[in-house]
Amino acid sequence: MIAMTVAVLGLISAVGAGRWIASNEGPTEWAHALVAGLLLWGLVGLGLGALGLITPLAFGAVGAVSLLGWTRGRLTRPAWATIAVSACLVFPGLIDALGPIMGTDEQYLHVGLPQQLLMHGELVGGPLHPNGSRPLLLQLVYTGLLSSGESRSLACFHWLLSVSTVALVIQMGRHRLGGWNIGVLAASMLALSTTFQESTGQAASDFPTAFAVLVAIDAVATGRHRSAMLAAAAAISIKYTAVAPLAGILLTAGLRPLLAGRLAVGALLLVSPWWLRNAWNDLHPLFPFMGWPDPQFSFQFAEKWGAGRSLIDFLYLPYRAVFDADPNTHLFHGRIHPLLILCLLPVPLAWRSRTLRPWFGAAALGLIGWAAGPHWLRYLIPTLPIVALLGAAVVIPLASGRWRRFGLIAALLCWAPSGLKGMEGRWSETRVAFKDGLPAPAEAIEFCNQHLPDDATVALLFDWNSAAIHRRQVLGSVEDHNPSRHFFLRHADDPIGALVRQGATHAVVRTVNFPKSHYEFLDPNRYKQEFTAPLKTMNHSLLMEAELLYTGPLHRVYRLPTD
Amino acid sequence: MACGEQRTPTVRIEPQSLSVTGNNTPPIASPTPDLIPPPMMGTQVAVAEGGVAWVAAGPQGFREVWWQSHAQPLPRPLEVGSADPHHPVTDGRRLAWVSQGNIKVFDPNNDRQDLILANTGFNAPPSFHRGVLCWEERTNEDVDVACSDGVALRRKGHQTRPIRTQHRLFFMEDGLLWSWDMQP
Repeated sequence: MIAMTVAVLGLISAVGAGRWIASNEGPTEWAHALVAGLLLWGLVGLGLGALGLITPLAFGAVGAVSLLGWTRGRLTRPAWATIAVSACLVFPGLIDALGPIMGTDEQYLHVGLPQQLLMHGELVGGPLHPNGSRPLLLQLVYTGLLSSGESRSLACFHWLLSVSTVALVIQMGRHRLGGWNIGVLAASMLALSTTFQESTGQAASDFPTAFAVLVAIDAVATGRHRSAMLAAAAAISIKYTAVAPLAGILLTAGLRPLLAGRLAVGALLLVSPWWLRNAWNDLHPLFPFMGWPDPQFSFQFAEKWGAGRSLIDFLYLPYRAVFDADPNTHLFHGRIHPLLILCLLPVPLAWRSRTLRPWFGAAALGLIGWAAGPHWLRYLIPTLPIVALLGAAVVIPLASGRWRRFGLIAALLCWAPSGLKGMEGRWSETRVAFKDGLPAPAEAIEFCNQHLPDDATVALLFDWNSAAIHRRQVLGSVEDHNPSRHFFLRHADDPIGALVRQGATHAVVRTVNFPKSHYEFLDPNRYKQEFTAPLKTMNHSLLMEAELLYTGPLHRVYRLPTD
Repeated sequence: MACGEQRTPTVRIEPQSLSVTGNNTPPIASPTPDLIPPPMMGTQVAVAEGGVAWVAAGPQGFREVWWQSHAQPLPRPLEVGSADPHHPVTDGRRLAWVSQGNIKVFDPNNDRQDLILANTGFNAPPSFHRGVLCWEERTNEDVDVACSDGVALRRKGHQTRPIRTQHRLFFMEDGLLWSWDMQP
């Protein structure tokens, strides 16, 4: 309950901050203020980090000052019915949000990184903290929430952003596309998708990105150009997957080229502090996604995800991404409601509509951008609300008459089990967590928290449990355990010495393997060099130089030699 | 008993006949006997004829080895302090543990302690069988196995986790369990 209270206060405060800079008008002004507030908080957080002022006191002060934005008069909010419907549609996520931290990304990035920022009191980054070199807009907001001491407030805040996204979808259906039923249908299609539901209850970045993209399209549609620029900058600063739908909006909204150029440059200028920070630290501006220091290194293998990347695979992609997708494997790693794609069949008709053209552009470029990258359905979330609204806006007028409407509702409900495939496992995990209490952390994690000195610095090797270990850390995980693999490739001659020189006193090692079957697309030599060799180097050097303190089923804990 | 990749007991190997049977019993949780100070998590208890030795967490991250004799009401420390003693093992009669990389041997019957110079204790505990200790030893090149009766296994690659029986030495090398038959 305290976590939710902190999250609600955070949301109110963010809206307050945004009211100083967002355009204040219309039924969706609350959303514009919220996105602008997140952007402002992120940039203020960047400044605090640069000054070494990441402290609970500083974040408390930012939150308190932000509340003053509420002195700028009344704010239009969604109707209570809209809020209630939205909360009901994402209710399962609330149970997750109040439960234990279980998501992998939560552990290493959205909760783990803020915890490290608070421990260091400043920003971290570079190859030892690759996740800290991303644009950290959202993670700095999460850091502010975590400074309250309530780690679950981050997931609660994200859940509130998920409710906000659904509420905005319903509002935009009504106010921008011609009917509340368009918004409700779009929101229902989204809510009946595993990929959507799974994400709502975790501290994550896909929903906040989707929310900012929606605000951007709303701002462009209503001529609020400053808000559009702020929302686009916020979306890109949260996650780069926003670039494709935003480009679609910009190219098809019918803006004068000069205005479109000004908006794009303005948004990119607001994102640029993150790139400049990396450049200042001798890193590629887009690190860790590009430009790893020697040896050259790929952040992600797109070929690992989906059902193939040949021409025929791309032709079948829309069908396979819906009907073959499996939330538990790399085969799209998620599930969406079939109507989301089927509604797009009559969408070419939308091109003639001046109102729907930017929606068409955003959906088209968003889908193409997703297809060009890794075929992981979660990456589609920033575009999905636009796809859903566009599909609903085209289909609802075609479904006039009692029988057609009945058919549409029947299709929505009958395909619900397909869209929600895999959720039963998730819900059962949550049920167990609530029934039996929070699962104890792995024994090795407990060992670290109980027995390592308070000033220890732990090298997390091939492990992502950053949030669970309450000590300063280096490395950690992302994608195919990139930080550890790169470290052992870069320091193959003396990896333990290099770790010690970086201040590490202990190491937590997770027993991992990289099944060859997941990397069939790689040349065998490259697979051996990038995946097998780092593990071999690590095991050899730990055996020769470190001391094993703890061995569990999945983890080992080592004491590293002193410098 | 030999363990799989997840370090759970997977197969049972009969030392004399080398017959192998699958282990279907669930892994046994670390024993938590009613000992004070409490055993440190993740450590093994050495149960000898005369009592129990175990590792407890000491101050400043150092470990301590304690002994609870069946004949005495109170436990007593066998070694505490910066030597960071750990890995207590027993052959049933005597006890041994690692202290600053060397091995200390304790006979509870006469309270005598001996020291074996070694360079061990960094990975697996020593093996103690009928008075013979075997341990991992770090060299400049790799890890080998040495025993208190003069037996040594020194060859290229890492030989780890020694388990000694009367005429056999089991050890791990490159992820495989090896057995050295030492009978003449």
